[in-house]
Amino acid sequence: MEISKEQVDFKRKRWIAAASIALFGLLLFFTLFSNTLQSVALPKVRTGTATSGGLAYTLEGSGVLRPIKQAELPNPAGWQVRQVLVKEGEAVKAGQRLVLYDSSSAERELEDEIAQLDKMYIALEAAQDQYIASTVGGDELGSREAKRELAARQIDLSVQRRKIEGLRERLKRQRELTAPFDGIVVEMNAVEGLASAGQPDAVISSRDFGYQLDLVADGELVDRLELAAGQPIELRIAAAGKQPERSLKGIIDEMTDEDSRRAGSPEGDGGETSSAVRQKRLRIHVADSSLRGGEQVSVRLKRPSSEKGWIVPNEAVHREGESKFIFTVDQQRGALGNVFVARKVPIEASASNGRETMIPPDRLYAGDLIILESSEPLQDGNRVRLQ
Amino acid sequence: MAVRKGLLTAGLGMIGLLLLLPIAITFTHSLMTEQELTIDYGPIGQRTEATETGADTFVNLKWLPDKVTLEQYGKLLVYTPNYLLMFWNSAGLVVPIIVGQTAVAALAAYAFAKLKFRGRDSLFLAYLLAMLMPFQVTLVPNYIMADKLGLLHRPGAVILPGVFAAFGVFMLRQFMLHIPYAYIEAAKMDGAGHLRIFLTIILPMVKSGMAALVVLLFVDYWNMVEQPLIFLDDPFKQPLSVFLSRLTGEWGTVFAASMLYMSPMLLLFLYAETYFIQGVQWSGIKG
Repeated sequence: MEISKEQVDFKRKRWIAAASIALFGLLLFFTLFSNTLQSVALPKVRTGTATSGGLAYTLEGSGVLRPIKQAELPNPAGWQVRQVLVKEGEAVKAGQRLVLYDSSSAERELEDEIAQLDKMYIALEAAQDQYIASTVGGDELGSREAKRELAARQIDLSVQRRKIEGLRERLKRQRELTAPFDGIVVEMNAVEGLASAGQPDAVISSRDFGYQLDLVADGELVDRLELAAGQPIELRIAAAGKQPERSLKGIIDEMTDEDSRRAGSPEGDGGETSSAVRQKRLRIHVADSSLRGGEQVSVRLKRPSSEKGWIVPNEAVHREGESKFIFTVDQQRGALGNVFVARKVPIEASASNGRETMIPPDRLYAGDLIILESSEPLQDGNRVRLQ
Repeated sequence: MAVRKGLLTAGLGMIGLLLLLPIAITFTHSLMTEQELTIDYGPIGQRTEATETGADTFVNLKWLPDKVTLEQYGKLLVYTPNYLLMFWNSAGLVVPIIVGQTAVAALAAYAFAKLKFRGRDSLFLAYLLAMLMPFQVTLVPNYIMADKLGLLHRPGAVILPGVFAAFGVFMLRQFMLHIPYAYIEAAKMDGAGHLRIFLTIILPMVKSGMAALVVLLFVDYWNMVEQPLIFLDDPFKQPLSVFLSRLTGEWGTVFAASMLYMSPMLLLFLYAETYFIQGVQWSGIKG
């Protein structure tokens, strides 16, 4: 009885000892490995640091230079081209002949009309003779009739004269194409021996008035760059043929409002939010004697913003309704070593260009890690795992 | 007589059940899901729209979980590393206190019980007074002393006063008084010194008393809140007892943490149960 009681007691103690070891072992295991176990389930984030400085606003655009004054000269009568006197790219003076046309049919018509006139003179003489005969013969009635006849012939005669005058003038005008002003032959479509088909035979552009370029840019960007009418602007002309790339001076001639464009925001979370972006049209005037018009030119304006702050990539900026925010990584002291926690930083007053966003300098400290990308949507205070 | 005995048994049984109730509730609730607990205990102490309109403000006390789950324990062990750290903090404070106080108390109790020297009884009386004084009275002197010793905000500030507490001395002295002086005289005659007498004769005889002391001390210091709260300012160095009172967010975790917190005490008590009961009976002290 006594022995069996001791045995029971011994067994019980062994069982309790085993339970204690199991309990402490379990707690020890989790103490050592809970952080590891937990971090497997944490959202993984990619981070970067913000750079201090100003935001660079860049305006980029390209277009084709167009002459401000340009004349399209059509074939005046649709006649065949007899001779082309100038080539494309040639400089011409006002009044210089460019194209001669085959006017033989009009000349023939003119000769016919002149012959008709001669015939009318003869008829007039016949009427005069009849009048004289009637008057001498004393035929009162015949004399009056002959007088009327004579007057009508004279009217016909002057009509015919005017007609010939008109024909002559037209012939002179339509026989050739002349330059309306000093300029350059931009286009020459006339081909000898053919009548023109639809297109103007020649296009002349004036040198004296210069060239212009139309660019459309976001209004906000234009404001940030502090562009205004009358300001000089630098253009680059692309390399074409033997001509190397070179720069040109231009002047902003005028700025007009354009229709807004709808833009999807690339940094928006969930769903494409589109907003109207105000646009402006810039008309840039270029005066350069070496230009011919039609050149491809590009504009690249870069200007740092006047205010300074932290520059973060746009992908780090999140949007929630109207407000914007970023997440930074906070290092906190945890029970078992340091832990990283996502901290939400609101950035209401921020400026942005296409790639980067500037946030006020008081929102971050130097060296703060900014979360650029996360494997899961984050909330303020979430623990995260750094990649 | 039999009726009286039966009534007494029933009455005591009822009281026993009543005392077990909190533990049973803690255990069953630690197996419930967080949702179930939120539904059952949602409006405790809160003025919600439902309670304002005069709706039922009582909680829905349930004994058994709808769905038994170990989710809360998993959450506690994996997602609350603070809990584990605090557990080891507690152990780091309690083990030195128990080992130290048992050693110091056994030696001091031997002196008070079996040595004869002048002023022994008045010294013991002073010791008793120190024990009778509530903790709050000695708090300020303890604090100043810890500051002077450069122990403030270190575990030593909690451990040292614990090691030299008077309770162990008093308890073990009561044990040793029961040991007949004849044992010691016989040993002396055989040429044993005080250390030998203490180690080979007295200690084995007060084994059950020591066990009882260990259990009582463990319960006492495992549950301490004020001392670490005052002497340790770093929340990551405070023991579990302090941390447990801060686990307010999630009910399920609180229940699971309480169960885990209770388990070392329970295991220790079960292990030393026979000694403990013996010891308490002998010393005439109730815990």
